[in-house]
Amino acid sequence: MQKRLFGILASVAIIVAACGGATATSAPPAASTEPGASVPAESAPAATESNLAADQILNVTAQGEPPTLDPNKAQDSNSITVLRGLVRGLVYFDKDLKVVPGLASSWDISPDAKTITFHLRDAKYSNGDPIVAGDFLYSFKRLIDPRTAAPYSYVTAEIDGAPDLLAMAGADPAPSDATIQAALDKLGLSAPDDKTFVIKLNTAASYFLTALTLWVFVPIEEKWITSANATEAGNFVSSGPFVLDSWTHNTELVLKPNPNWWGDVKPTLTELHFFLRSDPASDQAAFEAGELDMTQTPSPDIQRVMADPVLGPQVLQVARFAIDYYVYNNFQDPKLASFKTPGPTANKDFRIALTQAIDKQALINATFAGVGQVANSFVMPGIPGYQPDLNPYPFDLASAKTHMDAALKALGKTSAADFGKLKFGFNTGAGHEPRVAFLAEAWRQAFGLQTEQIGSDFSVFLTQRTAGQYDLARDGWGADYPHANNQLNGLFTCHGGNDDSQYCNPDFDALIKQAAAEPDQDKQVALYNQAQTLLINDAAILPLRYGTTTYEVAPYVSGLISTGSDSVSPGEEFWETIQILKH
Amino acid sequence: MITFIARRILWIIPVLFTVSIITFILMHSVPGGPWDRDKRLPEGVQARLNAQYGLDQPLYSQYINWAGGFVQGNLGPSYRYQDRTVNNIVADGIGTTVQLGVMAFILAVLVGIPLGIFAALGHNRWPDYLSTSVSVVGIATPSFVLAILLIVFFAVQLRWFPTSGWKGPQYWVLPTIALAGFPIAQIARYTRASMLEVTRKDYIRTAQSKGLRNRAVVIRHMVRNALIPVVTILGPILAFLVTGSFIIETIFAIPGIGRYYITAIGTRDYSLLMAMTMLYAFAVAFLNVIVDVLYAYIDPRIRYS
Amino acid sequence: MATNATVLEGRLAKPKQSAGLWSDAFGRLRKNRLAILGLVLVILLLSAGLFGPIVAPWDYKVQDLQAIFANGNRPLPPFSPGHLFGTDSLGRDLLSRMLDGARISVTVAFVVQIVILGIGVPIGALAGWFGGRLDNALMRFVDVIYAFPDLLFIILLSVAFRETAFGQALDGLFLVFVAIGLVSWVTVARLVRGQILALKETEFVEAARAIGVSDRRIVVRHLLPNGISPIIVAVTLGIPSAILAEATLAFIGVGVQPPRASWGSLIADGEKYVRGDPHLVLFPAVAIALALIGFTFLGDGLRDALDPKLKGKQ
Repeated sequence: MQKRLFGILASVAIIVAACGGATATSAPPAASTEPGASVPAESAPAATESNLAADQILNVTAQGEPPTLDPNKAQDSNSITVLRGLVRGLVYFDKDLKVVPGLASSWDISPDAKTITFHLRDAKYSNGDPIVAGDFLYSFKRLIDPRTAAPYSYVTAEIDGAPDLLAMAGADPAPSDATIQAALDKLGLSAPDDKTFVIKLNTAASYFLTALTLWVFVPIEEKWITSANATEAGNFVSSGPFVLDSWTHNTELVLKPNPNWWGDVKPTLTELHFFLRSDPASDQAAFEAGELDMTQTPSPDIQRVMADPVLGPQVLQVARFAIDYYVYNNFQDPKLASFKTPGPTANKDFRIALTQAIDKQALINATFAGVGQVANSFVMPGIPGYQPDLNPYPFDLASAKTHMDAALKALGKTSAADFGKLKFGFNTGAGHEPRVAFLAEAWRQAFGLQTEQIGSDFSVFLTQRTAGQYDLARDGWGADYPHANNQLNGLFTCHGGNDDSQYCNPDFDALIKQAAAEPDQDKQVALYNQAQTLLINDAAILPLRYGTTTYEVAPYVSGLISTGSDSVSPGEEFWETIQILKH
Repeated sequence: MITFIARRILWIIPVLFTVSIITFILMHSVPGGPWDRDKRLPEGVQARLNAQYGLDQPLYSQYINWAGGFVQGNLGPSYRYQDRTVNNIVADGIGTTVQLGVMAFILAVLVGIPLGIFAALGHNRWPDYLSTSVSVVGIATPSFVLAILLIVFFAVQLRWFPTSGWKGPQYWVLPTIALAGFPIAQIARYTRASMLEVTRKDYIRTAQSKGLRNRAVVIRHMVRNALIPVVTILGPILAFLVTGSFIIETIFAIPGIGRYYITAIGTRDYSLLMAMTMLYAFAVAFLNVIVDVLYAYIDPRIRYS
Repeated sequence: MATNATVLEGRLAKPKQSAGLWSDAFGRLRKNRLAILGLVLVILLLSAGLFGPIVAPWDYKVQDLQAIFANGNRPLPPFSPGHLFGTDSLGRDLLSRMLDGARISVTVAFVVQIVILGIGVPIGALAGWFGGRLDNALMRFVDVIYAFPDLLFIILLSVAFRETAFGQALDGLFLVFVAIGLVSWVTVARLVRGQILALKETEFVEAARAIGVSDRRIVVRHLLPNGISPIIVAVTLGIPSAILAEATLAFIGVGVQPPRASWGSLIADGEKYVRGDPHLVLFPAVAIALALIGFTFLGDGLRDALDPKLKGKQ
């Protein structure tokens, strides 16, 4: 019995890493510049007929068992990395993350920019059935339908009539099937014929076309998805370059080329193997043993790998649409009980002091192996609205102390130690411990401020953070689609779904509302900039680092198209372009 | 004897019932739920999911639903793996987990018991020190460290075995060793202690003083008697190996169910957690019955009334 | 009758006992070199627990970041100037962290064993001796505890009691004792029961019964000492287990919280660095191994020393 406890240790690390730390990123992309900009591995020579290996088998990791391969319901990176090979939608993106035709060969946008008419190409599923507009209609409605309870249903909010249905999801009492059906029939979606699919939007949302590259907006045959074990190997009906050949749960999943694949680039790979393991250290070992051709380098191994004469040249670093940040509890959300007893982080000078006491580059060097870019604001590089020069509170210990003195005066304390121990929450097992220790120690040395570092199980941590139980807490965000709206709305608006900082500023909310309704692109960006400036000037959060992921890629892997929306593997959006060279 | 066994086996039912109730209550009082994500699901979606899975009902009716299904062999849906049922997940992986556990158990017994006997026969001489050193290393090295060391040396450096997977005997070697490390040490220590104990028993001394110089006979007597207390811990060890291989399964990507005992807690996958708890409870209770029966069999002095 | 029984009993098994037992035992222990080595190790461990933070070269939480940056953002290796055991990834001195952690690991190890023995021995002894209904009832209770999802129990404890006096006691370590102890005593209980079951049918017990020695006396004076070997092993094995189990709990937020560390949590943190910086795992693991060796040798020595039958045989 004693032994049972004994092993749990590592396993907790493993689960938390599997379901926690990752900011569930799945950023499809826009016209972007930086992310995707990568420090390339020594690029493999271009493939020609003669230097291709006889065995075109690629071994990669999915970092764990995909919770589901139902495209409408998938949300985890383990699922998405596989789905990228199995399904495609109306539009896709190219290597520069520009929107390009997919199953729609062309589209017309109405003058008011609210109606998009897609013209579909001739294409078949892996089972030989034609892909028709009705399948998109079915899939989109299924995604929005509250009875599906799809995690990503909210990305449909711009479709005319969708907000009503999204609101029905949590309605009490639950709406009747008839009510739901009526609302579904009223949606701004139609398929006048097999080759035409029309989407009516409720606003001139310029970014909606980009959102359509998401894996949730793919065609789905009703008779397939409603059949038993639809997502198991042998049953999966694929609209992408590969088919699901086998799926040994928790071990290995194999894709093979889709004979009916309609795209221009036909896969050279004959087999694509996904290892379904959620232990990064073992993946790293498997890469070194030659069992994996690509892997993500675990943070503690980055320095060792870079210094290694063999592994070093195989490193590929990709900047992604992701940010690591820490939230101060602003104690402004009126819905929370903790509002009654605000801690010192409710004081703006206190937050500024804490922000200015942190040397972010030193933190990145010590705890991220020096990988990644310092973040001073929230909207990520590559997304319209990124403000590289917005940095009102740079690292400056003298200024930090001045602000702390102001905060002490305002709060009637003589020293920062008088605040008692601030509750500093984080989730264990996802590698956050060094960051938390770094920050806590920096604040202790600068002000004598005491913190109680509270590591918790992932779910407990999320529950406590949402409830405003911490003064300081770990946080992270990955873009769903590269638009400022996805970065600010809901994260910092009054009791927004992800407002972990308990920030609530009516001026900020007004700007976000105004921006969303602004049809002119430039004016819209300016409004988002205004909102973000407000947020950052309030020192509502402590932005730390824009995410960069370190991968290793075997030198014989060629044709990799790596972008800022890579998550588990580099080039995962374009499995079909990868080739194996002779080695 | 038959009545005794039957009664003990029937006892398992109330044990399972008690464990299920306590687990159910504890499980639902731990903060968080199956829909927790770093990127929060819209509240409406969470509410809908709760309604779909009956998580919005009062706890007692949730328990009744679960228990009703359990009695009929329906373990419910998995909240994390939404395309699969718990029955499906368990059926897929239980064979592998049992195989791994039994292999590790056999290895632990085959190495641990001789190691203990060897140590006891060479009490306070080099065999004893050697065995003790092996045990100490086995105990002080947690299985996750042992596993990664085995991978680094035997899979990465020497390339004798694959790092992971479960496709054939060469895939079984490293996980079995990693899993058996602690039990080997544990069994060796208990066997040694028990052997030493027996060495001092009067009948052994009598045998020796009577000039029964046939060591083989003496050892056979000793071992038989010495193994009695060892059997007590074999039951729990087997139960642990069969249900406690979660780390090893994760590190070596083994398609078993051991890992769910822990991951189901992390993901608040209630029905999967209940299934794992019931399996665990059953395995432990059942193996304990076997141990008690074995006890009576190998030690004729024990009488059951 | 009672007096007679006692006298007879004394003659039966242990001619010279009581006053002489412990001094005899100590005499025998002193002659056992390995046991003395074990004792020395245990004393060293205890001193580390008591005085560790005082003799530590650094404060356990101070970060020598400049040294890390100078070393290419990597932990300093062992035998670096000023850092005998090297540092972790934040430049915190490993030796100092281990010395500070010794206190936590030592306390956990001892108190948990006391909890385990305190619950496990009486329950196992009662069940084994009386058998029948009591045995059944106690053992079914043990079955439930055995089959109990301990991690769940512990997560719940960590959340429910963190803010209470109970949760704050001894820096949160009190919760650890309770958590580990409550789920760990069953092994000892079953072990003791097994021993008693086996021994109570032996001749000397029958003899003792025949002359009217009380049940309590037979169990406490004869059965437990005779069956003590596996118990000593359980305790010596239980100490490193408890040290590692404590790490598990620290990990999920019960007990010691960062920036403090125990040996177990140092291993858990260091495991991620095992490829590039193995010293982070090696030193704490060796420390636990030494502690284990100490307890094992001392335990074996004690067992031999306490065994009256071995008298004069050394």
